This record gives sequence, C-alpha cells and structure tokens, in this order.
Amino acid sequence: MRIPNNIALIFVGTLMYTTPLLFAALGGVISELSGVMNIALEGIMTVGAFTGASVSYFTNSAFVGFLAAGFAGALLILLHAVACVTFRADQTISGTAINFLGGGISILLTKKLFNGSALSASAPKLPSAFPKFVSNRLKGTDLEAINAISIATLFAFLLVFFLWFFMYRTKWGLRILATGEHPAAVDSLGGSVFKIRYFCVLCSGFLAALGGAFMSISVTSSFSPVTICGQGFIALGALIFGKWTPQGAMFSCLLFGFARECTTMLGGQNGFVSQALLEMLPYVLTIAVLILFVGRSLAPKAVGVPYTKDLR
Amino acid sequence: MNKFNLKKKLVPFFFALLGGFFVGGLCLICCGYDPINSYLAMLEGIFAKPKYMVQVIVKSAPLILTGLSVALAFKSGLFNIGAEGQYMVGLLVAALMGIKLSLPPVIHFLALFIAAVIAAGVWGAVAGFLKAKFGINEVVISIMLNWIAFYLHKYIFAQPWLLVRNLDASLPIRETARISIFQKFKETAQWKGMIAKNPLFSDIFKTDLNIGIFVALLAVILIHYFLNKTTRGFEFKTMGINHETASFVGMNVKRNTVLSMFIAGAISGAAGAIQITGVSPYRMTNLAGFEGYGNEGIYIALVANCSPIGCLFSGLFFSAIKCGSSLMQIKVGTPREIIKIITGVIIFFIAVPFLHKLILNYLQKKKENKLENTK
Amino acid sequence: MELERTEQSLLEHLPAKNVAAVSMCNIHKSFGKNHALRGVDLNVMPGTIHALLGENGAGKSTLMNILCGFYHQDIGFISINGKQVNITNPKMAIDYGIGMVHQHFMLVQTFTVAQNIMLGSELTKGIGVIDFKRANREITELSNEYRLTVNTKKKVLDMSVGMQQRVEILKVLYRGAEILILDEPTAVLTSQEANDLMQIMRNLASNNKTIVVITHKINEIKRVCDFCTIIRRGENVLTVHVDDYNEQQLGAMMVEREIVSVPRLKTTKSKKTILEIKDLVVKDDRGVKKINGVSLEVKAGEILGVAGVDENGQQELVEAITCLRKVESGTIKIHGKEIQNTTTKNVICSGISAIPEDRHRSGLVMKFSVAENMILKRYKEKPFSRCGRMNKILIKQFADDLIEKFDIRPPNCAEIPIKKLSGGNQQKVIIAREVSNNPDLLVAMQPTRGLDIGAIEYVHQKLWEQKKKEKAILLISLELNEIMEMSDRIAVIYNGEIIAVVEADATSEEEMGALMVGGGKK
Repeated sequence: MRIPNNIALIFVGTLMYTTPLLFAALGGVISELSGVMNIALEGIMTVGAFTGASVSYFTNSAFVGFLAAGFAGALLILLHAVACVTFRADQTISGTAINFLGGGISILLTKKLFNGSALSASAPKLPSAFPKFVSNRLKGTDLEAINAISIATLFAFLLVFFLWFFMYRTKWGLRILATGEHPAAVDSLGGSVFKIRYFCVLCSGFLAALGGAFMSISVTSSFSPVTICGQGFIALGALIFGKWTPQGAMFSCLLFGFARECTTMLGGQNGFVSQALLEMLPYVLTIAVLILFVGRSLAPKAVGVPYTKDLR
Repeated sequence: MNKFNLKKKLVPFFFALLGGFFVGGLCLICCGYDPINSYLAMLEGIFAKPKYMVQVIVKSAPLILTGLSVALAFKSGLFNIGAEGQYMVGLLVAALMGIKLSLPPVIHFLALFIAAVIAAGVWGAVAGFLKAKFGINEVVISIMLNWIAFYLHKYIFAQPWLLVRNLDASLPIRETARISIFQKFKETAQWKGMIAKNPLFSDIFKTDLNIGIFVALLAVILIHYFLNKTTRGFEFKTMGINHETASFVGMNVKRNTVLSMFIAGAISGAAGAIQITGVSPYRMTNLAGFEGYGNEGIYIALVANCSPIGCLFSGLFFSAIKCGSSLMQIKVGTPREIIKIITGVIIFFIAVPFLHKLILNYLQKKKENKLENTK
Repeated sequence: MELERTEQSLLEHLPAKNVAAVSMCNIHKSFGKNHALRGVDLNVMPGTIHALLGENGAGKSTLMNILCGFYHQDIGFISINGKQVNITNPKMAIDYGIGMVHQHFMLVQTFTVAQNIMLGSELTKGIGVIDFKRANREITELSNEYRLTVNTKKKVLDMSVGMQQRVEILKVLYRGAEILILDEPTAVLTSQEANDLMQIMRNLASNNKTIVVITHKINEIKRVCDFCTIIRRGENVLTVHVDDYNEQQLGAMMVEREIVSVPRLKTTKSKKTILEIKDLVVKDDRGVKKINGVSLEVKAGEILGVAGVDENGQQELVEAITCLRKVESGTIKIHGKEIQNTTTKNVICSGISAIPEDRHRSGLVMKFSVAENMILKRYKEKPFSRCGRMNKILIKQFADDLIEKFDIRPPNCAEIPIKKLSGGNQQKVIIAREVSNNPDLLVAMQPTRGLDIGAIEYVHQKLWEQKKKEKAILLISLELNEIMEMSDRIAVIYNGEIIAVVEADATSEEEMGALMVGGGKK
C-alpha cells in the first residue's frame, strides 16, 4: 500500500501546477483591481519563462533567473501601461499586441542565445521550500515526495496573504480599490490615478513573469514556445472565478492546478483515456466554471475604462 | 471629401507599419543581426521570382479569410480571438471528409467545404451563445475553445485509422476533393515539353496554386456587400457601436451576437478547408503548437481597420512579409520570429489611437525649430 | 464697465476691512475650439453663501473645477484669503482649504462611509495600516459637531441620495475645508432633503465656513444665499446682493430675456384608454423589487406625468414597457393587447415609441450619420429595404424630409455624423424618429435633460403636437416644474409604487413635493 505516497504525489503535483497560475492570477488581480484589464498575462508569462530559463542557465543560479524574469515582465508590461493609462488605448487590443510581442521576443532571443534552437538548455531548479533538517527527516518516509515543493510555491501562497492584507487593510490598498471603482473620486481627493495604475500594472507584470519563470525553471526546466500554452488566459479565468480577490484567485488556481495534475496522473500511468482528451480538461473546466459563476461575480466598475480628467 | 477621408484613415496605418519595421530593426540590431540586409532579403523573398509572388498570393488566401472573420466580429462589437480554433475545426472536418468520403470531383469539395464551414460556424457560435446568454467575456471563452480545438486535433490525428506512422502524418485527402489548379496537367507529356521551353511557367506551376484566393475574393465581396447594403449588416454595425441603442430600437442583440460569431467562425472554417484541400501534402500533420492563421487574422483585421476590402490588402501584405521572412531566415540567418515583433508593434501603434499624431506634431515642431535656427 | 459695477455692488454691502476668501480674476479657459470661460471674475466673502447662477453650459462648473485644481486656467489668477496662489492639482486645492461636493458624487459605492471619507488622508498605525477604530470614532465626532449624523460603518450603496450627499460634505470637512463648493446640490434631492441641506448650509456658514453654490434654481438662491454671481456664456454678468432682486429679475438676468410660462392646453375629455398597466412588479439587476404593484392608465389625447425623485423605479418602469426588462408579474396592455415580456420589436410594432433618458447611451449611434440614425427603427420596412437589401437613396430622402420638417440644423445634414450636431439637434433627431412612425403612445423619459431653454421649449411643443393629434403620452421627469407645466394628470411614484394620481389643475408644488417623498398618502 503506497496510498500516502500517492496522495503526497498528487498534492505536490497540484501545488506545482498551481504556482505559475497563482502568480499570474495575483498579478491579474492587482492590475484589474486598479481598473486596467490585463489580457496580456499570456505574453508576459512567456517572456518570464524565457528570461527565467535563460538567465538561470547562464548565471547558473535559479534565484537570479527568477528575479530577472520578474523585471523583464515589468519592462514589457510597461508598454501596456503606457498605452492604457497614458494614451487611453483599447485595453484588449493593447493586451493582444503585448501577447504577440512577448511570444516574438522570447523565441527570437532563444534562437539567438541557443544557436538557432527554439528550445533553451535546461536550467537549475529552485530549491525546496523545506530547510535541510526537515527534508532529511522526510527522506525514506512515505511523505518524501513533498520535499519537491519549491520555495517559490511557498512564496506564492504567502503572497496571497500579503496581498489580501495590503488590499483590504492598508491605505495604499484602499486607494487602489477606489481607483478601480471610481477613479474620479481618487483624483478629486488629490490621489494620482496615473501613478496608482502604473504601479499596479507594473506589479502585475512582475508577478505574471514570476509565474512564467516558475514554469520554465521548476516545471519544464527549459523554455520552449509551448511552455506557457494558454496558462495566462487560464489565470485570467481563475481571477474572474475568484471574484477579483487574492484569496478567491488562490482557490480557483488550486482547482485548475488539480485538474492539470489529474491529467498527468491519469494519462501517464495507464493511458486508458487518451492523453489529448485529458489535456483538454483544464480548458473545459475553465469554461464550465465561467458559465456557472460569472453571473455572480462582480468586476471592479472601472475595469477596461480608460480614465480621463475631462469631466464633460 | 471622400479622398480626404481615405487619406486620413490611411495615415495612421502607414505610421503603424513604419513603426513596426523601425522597432523591428532596432530589435535586430540589439540581437546582433543586420536589419538592412535582413529586410532586403525579405523583399527578395517576395519579389525576386514570379514563383515567390505566386506563393504570396496562395498563402494570402487563408489569411484574408481569417482576417475577414475577425473584422466582421469586430464590426459587430465582438473580439473573435477564436479564429484559430475555428480554423482548426474547419480543417479537421474538411480533412476527415476528404479522406473518408468518396464522391465525384467538385461535389466532393463542395460537400466538405460546406460541412467544414458549418462545423466551424457552430464552434464560433458557442462563444457567441455564451456571451449572449451568460454575459461571459467572449475572449476568454474563445481562447479556451482554441485549446480545446487544438487537443481535439491531436486526439483525432492520433487515431490509428487515420495515421500513417512512419510519416507522422495522416492519410492524404482524396484527389477528388483537392482544389489545386493544373494538378492533372502537370503530369502530362505536354507539360514536360513546356518546362523545357519556358522556365517561367514551370516555376509558377511548382507552387500550390489553388482556387483558395478566389474563395477569399468572393468572401471579401460578399461580406462587403453584407455590411454595407443589407439590413442584417446594418444591425451588426449598430450593435457593434452601441448595443444599448440597438436593443432600444428593437434589434435582437442576443440573436445577432450568436449569428455574428457563427458567420465569423464559418469564414475561419473556410480558411481551414481551403488550406488542407489546396496545399500539399494534403495531409494533417502533427502539430507542436498553433499554426497561427487565426491569430494572424487579428492583426490583419486591425490593420485593415475592419474593412473587408482592407482585409484583402492587409492579408496580402502579411502573407508577403511571412513568405519573405522564410528566405530571410535561410539567406541571412535572421530568425523569422522578428515578424511577430513587427506585427506586435504594429498592433500597439494601432491600439494607441493618436500616437502617430504625437510623432507628427513632434516632427513638425522639430522642423519649425530648425527653420528658426537657420534664420 | 460691467466689471466696475460688479465691484461696487459688492462693496456697498461689505465692511471694507474684509478680504475675499476666494478671488478669481479674469479667468479664461478653452477646451479645443470651445471657449468655455472668457474673463470671469468672482469674489466670495468669508462666512457667506455665494450662488453661481447660470444656464446649462454657461461655465459655472468649469470655473469651480479650476478652483478645485481639476483644470488649470489659461489666463487669470486666483487668490485665497488675499494671497495669490497657483493651484495645479486637487491636492493643492485641498491644502488651501477648498473642498468641492460634485454633482455626480465622488463616492466609491462598495466602500463604507468611513472608508470613503478618509480615502486619500487615512488614519494609520504602523506602516500604512489603517486604524479603522480611530477613524470611525473621529468621523462620528466630526459628524456630531456639524449635526450631520451618519452611520460610519454602512456601505454607500445602501444609502439614500441625501445621506450620500452628507457623506460628501463630511468628506470635505474632514479635510479641514474652509471653503465649500456645492455643485447643483439639490438636483438629486427630495424637497425634504433639500430643506435639510439648506439648514446644513446655514449651519456651516454660521460656523464661519464659506460656501459657493452652483445652481440654476432661483428660489433656492433666494432662500439661502447672501450673494449671487450670474454667468452667461462664459462671461460674468453681474454680482448682486440677493435681497435686492426678486426671482423674476434674477431669472431674466440668467437667460437674458423674460421667462413666460405658456398656458397649458386644455384636454378634451377622452374615454379611449391606450395604455393600461396593472399590478406590475419588476426587479432590477440585483434582484431587488424596483416596481411593486404599479397600476396606470393613459388615455388618448392626454399627457400623464410621472413625478418622483430619481431612483424610485422610473427607469425600470420604462424598461418594462419597452420590453427591455423582464416583468415578474402584472400586465401591460396597449389597445387591450398584452405586451409584457415580448420583444422590443413587438412593442414598437404595437405603436409605442420612446424617447430615452440618455440619448448618447441608448438613443443614438454617435458614429452613424443623421440619416442612419433616423432610419434605426424602420430600416426593415418597405420601401426602405426590400429582401434584406437597404435602399440608401430612399432613406436619404426620408431623412431630408424629416430634417426639414423638424427644423434640424444645420440643414442638409443627412449624411453628416450625428456627433457633429449640437445636443438640442440630436434630441430633435430622436424626436423626429420616434414621432414620424405615428405612434399611439409616446413614452418620454426626461426628454429635456441637459438641453438649453430654446430646445426645451421645442421639445415641449412637439409633445403638445402629439397631444393635439389625440395620441397618448407618458412623460417621466425629475423636474417637477416640467411635470406641472405639461401634464393633464400626474402620477407620483415613490419607492416603486404609485402613491397618488392627481389632476394637474388641482394640485400645488407643495403638495407634490410632500407626495414625492412618500408623505401625505391619499
């Protein structure tokens, strides 16, 4: 009987697939709460995945790669911020442009850096979330598998709590929420809608890119054009399902992570269900969840509406 | 007046294209490639041989169609990011019917074409229906549908009755369903004689010349007529600009949302059908990722400002740089992904409505300053 | 010259030592080609209530938005308490003690009162962590001090409009404002709430706050204000002491001509019922009952006015009649035929036309030409289209006809995008469209909203024309004056119920005012 071991494996797998989604969904939450729709998550994750894999390969440090990815994501999403906040562009179209750019830049640079191959060399992994003495203790037991939980996963879940506190308990959070609901109110009280939205969009890019980096560093251990494969959009679905709150996003990401883990478990072992059909599962689930819950969730009022001072 | 309007509309797109190539060039420099040689190679890949030019036209057909699909949806206020999935469904249905059915020529193609178009239309209508019924953002749904279509393709492709193992491709579709021009002719003795005499002809006939471009042209004309002359087109446009007014004056916005997505899906499906029946090897291949025809439709529609006639030209344009980029990669070694960056920048310029005005104003001021200085 | 007179009339009433709390001098502001303000002067003495009187679009709000740092003037300067200042953003205005209560409230609906009030100057403990306890306490203290009681933990979206306005005023006071600007403060209030507000304003003034009120309601100025500056088309006409002039004189100065009220057309007593609503129940998007058992009848040749304060179910009533909203129970009959829960198309075919409340949002397609907007309801009829194909030539002829008949300016505008027309002319296009298919019932929701006086008269005339043609008209308006002037009978809606139906001749504004807030149920 290896039931504890199996459960531990499913648990670890679920957390592993949840982590990138969670980073991206949290990024999406920040941006959308401030009133900027972020359909660019996919492109940002791709850039994050590329930067993460290649920087950690060349510096031989997963941490450096992970952080570098965040900054690369913030840099790319700056374009989205400029377009949506300063120039009041259509946020859907701008997001689409970022998605194209993200994909293009990543593959172009991968080919440049890895001698024309669209697949990056394998990168070092992020360390386990558990300190040495705990992991040594676990070795040899049924629960050994949970040693594989990455430190970044721990960080992502801590971030959920932090964001919740930041949004609903601090003055900056209060201002961000107000910007997403009623930007003119913030403006009339002397706050800067521009600064708040720029800050939020940049944070969103940073986090989404961390999600991408986790995917390429710790899950697939290299970057290829299909590393992200729509996860940015799944994260978007997760944040809608999570009703635009950090904690809600966490639960829905766990659900999607679990679905994905089921795919690998069921498909990998006996294959009595086709792998391709199983891989559809997360996407079908997203649609099902949206049909069941979208009517009841409330988006911030000003999402997708460019803010202009002109009151007339 | 009219001429002036056209000019006013064209200027921003011209700027967007210019901006795209400029930024693309900067990226190339940063990556250590030579932008001028790369772009020259790209031009060469478009115009150097008649074969290339024909190739551009052949490859433009699916692009024009998916562009048209996205444009029609845009006109009715919907963002059809699902063209990719609809294209794939069209291709899948056409392939299955092309392989499994045995019918006389022409009828065979017509049958599979109609089936593909309807299937893809229904695929698109799902997103429209969910939007109309539950108010779910059609973008998220469409993207999920894209991935579902992708894995559906993988699933069907892996079926043993379809797959040719050693080729890693499906069985070819029957010849009765193919739409290539001069296919039979190529194998005759007359043809071999002509090759000897006229290398130009042989060059052109080496391409996958097919009737797809005529299908695309017909679709452009039909959609143009539909949007500008018919009552339903009028309803689509009204709904696209202001859906509250549309329902206020008694138009059925929900039904039109589904219908619009159905038509958009159908057009994308047509692109898939002509692709599999018109281009060798006439087989389904194992896909590593999306083929991208649907996603390319998005920027074709955007650059065309959602006008059907515009889609014709922007489809040709993007087909050209796509074809050109192949030669560029072979000849100069510049990765062809650069065109993704170029198009990304182009969309970005189009998304930011007055960026070109800012640049123009800036240039104007600089010019004035210079004039003052010289005085 | 006029400037001198202004200064003099002000000085006559004031002790010389007083320095103006606000002094704005020769303010100019343009938006593109639109010259909104051309040299406006304003002097407000401390501790007084000062009215800014003018028609829609005269530039009152723009002037105050400049004072609040929302806009920056092109030319001119501002002094606060005699010291010249340069206000570049709202934050600076707040620091100078200026606070504005906007016409459209700047409140976050999902926040509590306390969150709204402290937004931007939060009470914190530690690094940025909000001290909700202290905030609630301090705000309660503040509200007691000015007798503006509110429940600080309540969410704004659960509050009445009058209470929301209190929150706005508290928000300004919380920031230590000495100069309060109120933009059309009574526009959304019931008359009871308006009375309360005027009491509050008096209170504040006696606490030595300076108040500027933007308004076009002359009776309120007479009741509460000390001074009044009249602005006309971006220029100030005059600053006067309110006690020196009567209401007619002030009104005449505002519109540059005498206001004459047109006598109402007498109704011919008709028996034919066009619209009959019975026990109607309608819910809003959140599932709250917004119409609760309404019954109404409109007869041919009659204007039935629906009076009431905003948000009492008017919107839902119109949406139910036009089948844009689901009816839970009850019937709506036109000519005895039930139409509820069918389609808007069916409603239109049954002979109902409607003038929407917000013409930009749900009446017009701004990117379309005038002709296309004119045909929006009839594009499917022959001869405008045959077999699904539209006949552009006939449509243009049709539009040209209506443009001439309804005096839409500029002439020959059939192919011009409608967004280039003025607001009044856009409204004319809607009226032309809605009236031209000869409806039996015209539902007019706020048909004169945001129009200038000339256009308002035009709209009223067209409604009367319909009445003369023995059509039925359901007029829903928040302006009591309009209802009183136009209607034959008046139904008062309050909280989703019709609490009274009265003959317009047999009622008074006072009685109506009491009914509209739910008092004096008959």
